[in-house]
Amino acid sequence: MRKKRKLKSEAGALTRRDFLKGAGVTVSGGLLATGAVTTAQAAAQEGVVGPGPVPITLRINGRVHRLSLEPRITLLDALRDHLNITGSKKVCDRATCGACTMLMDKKPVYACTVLAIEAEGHDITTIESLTENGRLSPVMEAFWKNDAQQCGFCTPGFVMACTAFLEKNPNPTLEQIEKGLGGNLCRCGTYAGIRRAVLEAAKAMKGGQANG
Amino acid sequence: MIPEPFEYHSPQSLEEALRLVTEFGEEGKMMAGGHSLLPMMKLRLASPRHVIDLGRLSELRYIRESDGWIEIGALTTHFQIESSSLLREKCPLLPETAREIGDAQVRNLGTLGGSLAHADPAADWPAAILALDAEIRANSAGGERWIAAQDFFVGLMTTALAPGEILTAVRLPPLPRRAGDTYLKLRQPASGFAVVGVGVRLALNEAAHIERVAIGVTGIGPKAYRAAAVERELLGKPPTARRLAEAAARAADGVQTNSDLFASAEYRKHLASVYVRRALELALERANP
Amino acid sequence: MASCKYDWPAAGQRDAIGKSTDRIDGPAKVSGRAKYTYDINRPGMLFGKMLTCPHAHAKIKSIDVSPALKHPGVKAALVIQDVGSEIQWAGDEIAAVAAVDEATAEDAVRLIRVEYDVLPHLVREENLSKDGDRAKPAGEQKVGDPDKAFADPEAVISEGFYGIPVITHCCLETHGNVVEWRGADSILTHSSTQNVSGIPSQLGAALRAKKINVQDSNIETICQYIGGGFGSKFSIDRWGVVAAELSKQAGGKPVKLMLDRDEDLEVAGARPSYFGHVKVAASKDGTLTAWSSETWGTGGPGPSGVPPVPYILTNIPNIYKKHTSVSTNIGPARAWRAPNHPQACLMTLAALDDLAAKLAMDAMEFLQKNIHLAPSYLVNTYQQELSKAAELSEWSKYWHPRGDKTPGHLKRGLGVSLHTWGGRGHAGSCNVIVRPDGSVTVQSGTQDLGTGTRTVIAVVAASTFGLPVDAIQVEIGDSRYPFDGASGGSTTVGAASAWTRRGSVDALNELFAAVAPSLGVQANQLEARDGRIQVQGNPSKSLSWKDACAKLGAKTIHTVGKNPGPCNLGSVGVGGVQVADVTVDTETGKVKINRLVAVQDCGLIIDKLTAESQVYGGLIMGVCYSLFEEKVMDQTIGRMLNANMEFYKLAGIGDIGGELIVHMMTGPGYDERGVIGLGEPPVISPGAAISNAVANAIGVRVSQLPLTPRRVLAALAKGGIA
Repeated sequence: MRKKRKLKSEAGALTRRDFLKGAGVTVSGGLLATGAVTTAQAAAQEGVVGPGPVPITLRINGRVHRLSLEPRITLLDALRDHLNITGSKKVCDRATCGACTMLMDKKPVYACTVLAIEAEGHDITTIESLTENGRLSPVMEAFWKNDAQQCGFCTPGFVMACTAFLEKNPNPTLEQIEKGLGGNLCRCGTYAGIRRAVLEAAKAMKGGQANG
Repeated sequence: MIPEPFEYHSPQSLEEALRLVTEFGEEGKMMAGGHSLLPMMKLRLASPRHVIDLGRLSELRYIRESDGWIEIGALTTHFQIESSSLLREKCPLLPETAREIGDAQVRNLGTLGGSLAHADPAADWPAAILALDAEIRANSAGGERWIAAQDFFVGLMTTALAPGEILTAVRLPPLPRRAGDTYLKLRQPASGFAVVGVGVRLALNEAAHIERVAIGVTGIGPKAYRAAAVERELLGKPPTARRLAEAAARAADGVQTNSDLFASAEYRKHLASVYVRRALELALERANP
Repeated sequence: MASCKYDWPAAGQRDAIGKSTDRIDGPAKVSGRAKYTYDINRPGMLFGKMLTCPHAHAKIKSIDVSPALKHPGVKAALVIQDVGSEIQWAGDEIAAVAAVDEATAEDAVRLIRVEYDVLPHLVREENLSKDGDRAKPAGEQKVGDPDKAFADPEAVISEGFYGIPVITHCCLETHGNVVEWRGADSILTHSSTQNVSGIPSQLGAALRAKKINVQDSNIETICQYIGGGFGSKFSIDRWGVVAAELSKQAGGKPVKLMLDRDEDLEVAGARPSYFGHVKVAASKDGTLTAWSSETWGTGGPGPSGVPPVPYILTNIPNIYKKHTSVSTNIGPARAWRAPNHPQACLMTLAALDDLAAKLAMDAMEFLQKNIHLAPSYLVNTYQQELSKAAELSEWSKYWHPRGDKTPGHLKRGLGVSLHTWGGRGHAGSCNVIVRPDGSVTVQSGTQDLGTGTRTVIAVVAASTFGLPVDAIQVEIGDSRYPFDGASGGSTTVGAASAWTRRGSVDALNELFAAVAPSLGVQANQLEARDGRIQVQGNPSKSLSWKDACAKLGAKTIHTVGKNPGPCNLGSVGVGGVQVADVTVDTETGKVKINRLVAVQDCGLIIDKLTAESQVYGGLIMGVCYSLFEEKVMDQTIGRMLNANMEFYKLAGIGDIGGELIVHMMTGPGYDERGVIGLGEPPVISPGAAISNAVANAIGVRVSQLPLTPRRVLAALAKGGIA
C-alpha cells in the first residue's frame, strides 16, 4: 500500500508544491489545513502526501480501517477522534507518561508520538483487543484483583505496557518491573498494587501456558 | 497539541531520501523515530514544510561485524541495540547505554542515527560513541564520508553533518585486550535524559597501567565531549583509587556548563566529577576480571 | 446501649463490610471500556480550543476573533475576556473557537489577534522581603506568654526556616467538558468533575449571567469516570461555560473542550505555598513549652490558605503566630487533597524534629512525650499509632541520632510524622429500588473519583440486604439521580455509606412488611441473611430473596436514603502516623526511599481493599511532592517553566522505594466511631516524614521541599555529616 506513494523518479514529475506554485496560488496555513482533498489525492499518487487529508489504512486489532487524515494526525488521535477507539488515553501528549501505550508489531510504543501515516503497514494492538473474547486478560484480571488502579486513567496504558513486558520477561524481578514499566505514570499512586499485579499476572500467564 | 500542516514523504531507498533532502533543503526535516521531532512540532517550535520519514529505510537497520569492526545502521532502534547478542558479546557498552535511554516505549521507536543527528546535549548515545572512538558515516548525493565521533558534535544540537547529508551508520573499532567499559548516568527524574552521562572505555597494559582511556561525557555542556583533561592525567599511570578520583575532578575542565531547572552549572560540574570517577572505577573493575 | 434502627451491624454480622471487596467498576477500567469525559465522542461533535494570555499581568487593548471565524471548518468563535479586562495570570482564557476537528481548531485559534498592555507582575514569593505591597497580613495570634517562655534560661530552643512550594494537581485527565444543547432550552454536559450534582446550577447561573436563559433543571451533567480530581474539579470552570456558548453559537452541536496538558498545569490546579521561620522551645526533659512562627505563602491572585500551626500539638501553652498572604500572578489556587494540612504538617513536624535533635532525644520518644498537647480525643489514638509505627518500622533498630556515621557516601535515616483530618460525610441522598424480581438498584448523583464510591455503596447495600455484592446495581454519575455533595475533603464515603444504609434499611423494612404475612410473623421479627429473608434465629422459616421480593406483587419498593439523618453512622477526626526510611547519596544528593510505614485510623472500614489503596496512594503522592514536584515560575517572563510532564515530575514505579507498609487501626475503639473519610489524611505526613528522615540521615535539615539533589547538596555544604 506504500507503493502508490512512491515518488516517481522520472524528471518532470510535478510535486504538489510545484503545482501550487505553477498555479500561482498563495498558500496559507489555513488552506493547507483543510486542503482540498482532490489535490492531495492527486498528489499522493506522485508520492507526495498532504498536507491535506490523505487516505490512510490502519490495521488495528486485526481489522482494517480506511481513513482520510492529514499527515500531522497522530496514531493516538486517529484512533480516539476518528475511530472512537478510546481505551488509550491522551495525557502528556509528548511521549512521557505512557497512557497512550499501544503495541506496534507487538512492541509497546507511545501512540501520541507516532503519526498515523507512519503506522501504515504495521500491526496495531490496543487494549480493546485483549477483551475481544469478552473476558479479562490475565494482566487485566491481576490489575483488578490487586486494586492496581484508582481513577483508572493510566490503567489501560499500564496494562498494555505490562502485557508486552511480560511477553519478554516471563519471570520478572522487582527491579525489572520497575525498569520495564518506567515509561508509564500514575497520579493516584497505585504502584504498590501494580507491583503485586505484575507478579501475579506473570504467575497466571505461566500457569495458563502450562495448562496448554 | 497538533503540528502545523506538512507534506509527508517516506522514501523507500537511501537514494530517494538523499534526493528529497537535497530538494527541500531548509524546508525539510528528517524523521527517524520522531521522539525528538514530533514534540517540537506539536509545540510548533519546529514547523517544517516537509517531513522526510526515514522509517521505511530498512536497508539502514542492521548490526553487523566485518574485519573486527562492528557497523550499526542509523535506523537501528535503541531496543535492537539493547537486545543484540552480537553487541552484548563484542561491545557491551552499547547495550548497556541503550538500556539507560528513556523507557521501553521510547527504545522501541527511537533510533541510534536519529538521536546522534539530533545531538541533544543530554542524550545518552553521544557519550558512548565518544568513549568507543566510533566513526559516523554521512551519505550525500556526492558519496559518503566517515566522521570521527570526536569531530561529530559541533555545538548545541549541531553536528558536522553538512546540508544534504544523511547519517547512515556508525562503526566501532574492536575492543582492546584487557579493556573494560561502562556507561553511568544520573537521569533527569522526569524526562529520563542524562543530567550527566559518562561512557568510559579503559584498557590496561601488561604492567596493569592505563594504556588507553576514552571518556565521553554528556549532559554537562552544550555538546557531548571527551574529558581530555582526565584522560591525560591517567594515561600510562597505574589506576589507583586516588588517581582516579583526582583525575575525575577535572571532568568538566574547560567546559561551559549547562544550567537548568534541575541542576545548576555548579552542581553539574560536581556531578561530572562524581560520575566520571564512578564510571572509571567500574570500567577498571571490568578490565581486571 | 440503646440501638438505633440504622446502626451498623455488630462485629461478626457485617457481611462484606470491613472485608476486601474488589472494585465493582474494576473490569470496566482495566479493560479500557470505561468512558471518561475525554473519551466522549458525540454525533457531529466539534472541538473547542482557547487562546490564552501569554503575560502574567496585562490589560487587553484590542481583540479580533474574526480571522478565526473565517477559517474554513470553524463553526463558532467568541471573546472570553474583552477589551479592558485585566488579566492576572499567564494562561488565562481570552478567546475560543469550535471547529470540525482539533487540528482546525488549533490552527484557527492562532489566527485570533490580541494586543495587550503588559503590566508588572510577581510570580515568586519565597523571599518575603521582595514581595512589597503584594504581601498582606493574614492573621496574628498569641496564646499564653511566648516571650517569657523563650526567655527562660532553662529552655532549649530550636529555630529554623522551612518551605513547601506551589505544586499542581496534574490530574491525568485534563479538565474539560463536552457540552451540547438539546433544543433551545436544555443542555447536556459530560464533565470531568468531582461535583456531578453541583454542575447544573453552576452552569445555569453562569449562562443566565450572560443573558442565556436556561433553567438549572434543564441541565444534565454526566460523569461516569473521572481521571483524577484531587480537589481541582469542583467547578464547571470558565471553559465549561465557554463550551456551552460555543455549542449554542454552532446550533447546539456538541463541543468537546478539554484543556491541553500545558494549560492544565498552568491554570487548572495549584496548592498554595507555605514558607516560614519557626522557633520552638522545650524544657530540658523535652516537654514543649513554646511555639513562634512567622509564615507566608501564595494562593495566586486571591488569598493564600492559612495552614493550622502548630499542627496537632495545638495545646502548646505559649504560642505566637503570624501569617502573611502574598498575592501573585501565578494562576488561582485550588483545593489540593487535604488543603493546608501538608503545609502545616511540614512546618510543625520538621521544626519539632529539629528541636528533638537539639535535645538529643529520639524523635519518636519526643512525640510520645508531647502527644498530650494534641486534642484530647486524638491522644489515645496517636499513642497507639506511634507505638505501632515504631514497631512496623523497626524504629529502635534503624533510628540513630542525627547523621549516619556509617563510612561511605550512602547515609540512611528514619523520620516520623503525624496528621489528622475531619472526614465527616457530606449532605446527600440516594434512591434505593427493590423490584419484584429481586433486583436492587441504588442511584445517586454522586461520583467515584477512583476512591471506590460505587463499591462502597454496593457493599453497604449488599450487607444490609444479606446479598452478595454483585447483586447490587449501582447507578451514579448523573445529575438526574438524587442530589449528592461534591467529593472533597474526604466526605464521600461517610455520606454514601450512610445514605445507602438508611435507604436500604427502610427498603428492607418495607420488604419485611410485605413478606411477614406469608411467614406468619410480625415484620420486626424478620432478618435478611445469606440471600434469604428469615425469622430471626430460625433459618428454617425463610424465603429466598427472590421469592420474598415476588411477594411485592406489582409493587416496587422505592426509598430515599439521606445524610445527615437519624443514628450515628459516621463521625469526624482521624489520626495517622507515618515513618519514612531513606538513603541519601551524599555525592549526588539523590534521596532514595527505602520503606514507608503508614498507620491510619478511619473509623469503621467499608471496603478494606480500596481503603488501603487510599493510604498507598497518599504515601506515593506524598513521595511526589516531597522529592519532585514544584510549579517553577520564572520572574522574568512570568510563566511556569515546567508546564509539561517532561519537567513536572511525578513519581514513577521505580521511585517509591522498597516496601510500603500500611496498617489500618480497626476493631474495638475504632469501629464504633462509624465511617470516616480517608482520602486526605494519608497524603499529609509524607513531606515531614521524608524530610525528617533525610535530616536524620545526613545530619542537617534540607529546609525546603521538594528534596531535590541540588537542595540536598546545598544543605550538606552548610553542615551535616559529609
